[in-house]
Amino acid sequence: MELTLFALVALAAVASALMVVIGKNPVYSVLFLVTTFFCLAILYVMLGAPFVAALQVIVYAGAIMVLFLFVVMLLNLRHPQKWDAGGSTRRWIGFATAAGVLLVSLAAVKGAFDPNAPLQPEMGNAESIGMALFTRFLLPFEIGSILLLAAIIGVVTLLKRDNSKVATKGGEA
Amino acid sequence: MFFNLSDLFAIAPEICLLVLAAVVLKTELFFTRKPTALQGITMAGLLVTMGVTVMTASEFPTGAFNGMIAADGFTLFLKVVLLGVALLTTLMSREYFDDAAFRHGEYYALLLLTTIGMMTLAAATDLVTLFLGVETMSVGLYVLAGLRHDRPRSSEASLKYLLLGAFASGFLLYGMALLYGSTGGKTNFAEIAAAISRFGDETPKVLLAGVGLILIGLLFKVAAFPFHFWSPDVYQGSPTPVTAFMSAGPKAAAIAATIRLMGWALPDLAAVWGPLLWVVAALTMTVGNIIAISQKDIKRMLAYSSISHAGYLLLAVLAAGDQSIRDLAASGMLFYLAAYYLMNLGAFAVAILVNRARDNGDYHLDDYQGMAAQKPMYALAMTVFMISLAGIPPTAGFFGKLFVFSAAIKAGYVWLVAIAVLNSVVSAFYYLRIVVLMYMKPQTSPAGSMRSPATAVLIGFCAVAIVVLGLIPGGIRNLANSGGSSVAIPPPTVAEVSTK
Repeated sequence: MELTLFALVALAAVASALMVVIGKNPVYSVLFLVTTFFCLAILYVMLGAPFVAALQVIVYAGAIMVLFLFVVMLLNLRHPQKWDAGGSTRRWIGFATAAGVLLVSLAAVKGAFDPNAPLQPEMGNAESIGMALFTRFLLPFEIGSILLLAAIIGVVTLLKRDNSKVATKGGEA
Repeated sequence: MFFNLSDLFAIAPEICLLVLAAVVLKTELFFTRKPTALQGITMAGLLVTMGVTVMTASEFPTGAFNGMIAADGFTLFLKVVLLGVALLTTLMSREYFDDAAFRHGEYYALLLLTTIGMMTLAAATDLVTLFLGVETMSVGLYVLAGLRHDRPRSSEASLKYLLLGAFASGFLLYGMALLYGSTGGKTNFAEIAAAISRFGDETPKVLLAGVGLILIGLLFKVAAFPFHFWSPDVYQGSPTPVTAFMSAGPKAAAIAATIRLMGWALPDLAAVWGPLLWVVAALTMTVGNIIAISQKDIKRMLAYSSISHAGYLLLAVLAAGDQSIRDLAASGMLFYLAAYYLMNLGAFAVAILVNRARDNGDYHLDDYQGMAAQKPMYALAMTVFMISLAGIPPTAGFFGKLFVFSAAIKAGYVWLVAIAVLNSVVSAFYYLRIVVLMYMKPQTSPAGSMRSPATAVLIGFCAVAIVVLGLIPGGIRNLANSGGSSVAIPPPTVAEVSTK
């Protein structure tokens, strides 16, 4: 039962991830990415990490995907993109590289992990994550907030231009 | 309490910088937008931070915050160097950004937050802090590179750096995930080292793949071959003070993190990453120097020169793979970095002045023709920087190279040091070409005014410091030695906290 469910969800995750890459319409790609994220969330639940699963849905499938959709729509990419930008040689180089990475990772991962490794029962619940964040990982947690502060100041600095210039450009960004 | 109050001493410099960044931002918002005031506050704050760093200098071999960061002499030395980089960058910034619309407060705040990132990276003894340090540093740099909205090159530099940097962060993170998975869920350097030594000869391949991917991520930040392609374009397009900052600070922080990770956490795998880094170091020096010869733009030339310097610094990382001399390698690297930032920042400051005097927007090498006749002091300072970058005595650059190369020879890398010395000879060609241009060529066009008091002070300070370090390297050498012999990778003091 569990294996069947895993196989189904994993296949769906890989299939929709593939669709993200081969899809020609960027909006479809974004929607398939949502599917991938949902499948991953199910896998997290199966690993006994409900909190991580909830975060996956809220943060990735929710917030970040909305952001992606906004960007796609703002960029006005309604017309299907052609592949001719890089030429077929470049496409084959990319394909070969990806295949090579896949082979190497398969060879490296093969036998490296114990499929019967025991699950830590309270690994992925909210309590244990909260405890870890505010005890052992207190400093990284704080540095993370500095990182976000730097990012916020950076975005404001980059986007806040001289008012007179913005007026002449008519808000074109 | 899951940290001791003494842990706060270990991050006192970072706390000071964070407060300073907030003060600068608020001052601009509520009190004054005068560039001189904001620059003054930033510089005074940085000096106070430097004082705090030295006064709270407490070395705990147990590290701080459960082994997340080190509190050793190595980190302390690097923090002072990184603060020096930030201080000198601030000093040359106001006169460069003379555009009335430029927001100085945000610029200085970003510079300070980036410095916090670099300090975290230099102190990191856990994969989590390492990654957060890299990201905090990089996010600041992406923005700083694109500050000149009016110049397409600046935006191009920012976007290029962002895209490639994000890609490199992906490699770094993937490598960390593989390392985490194959060592049984460890992120702390000491625990990783223990887990690896338990494997003995049967190192899992996935662990090696992880180490390789982490190396890619770090070598990108150091701008080593073949991950250097971004650096000439980014250096050329960024505002020059930012270029100077970028070439000195992040490189120092990233190479320090690399030496700590490779030499102290992964010495058991030196047989694997050693040959890899050997080739990378040799190619980095050679490619950087050979391409630098053909450059016509001083910023691009200095970019390739900084790639070749990354190659020399990788010698120290390689030497650190040998446990008996890794202290020597680390201290040599510290001295090298202390010398390198002085000469590089000085050279970029001269480039700013020459560019301002020409007022034609580009940084062509021909602008230096006949400079000695009109501006003898600047020409002399530039000569000192070039001689030091080439590694000719009696300058700080010479001793930096000497200490790193001698550590590498002791570790048995004789051939690689031979390649490095040959490369130094090649590099002398393009460094000294500028000296020849300045002193032996007639002036082509009259130069404008080069009046920039703050930048002039910086150039003077750097030149004097380089010569003093070159004549009496003893004091800094002793500090670097005690820093190099104190490198620690503390294990976590609190075990995983159970929820029960």
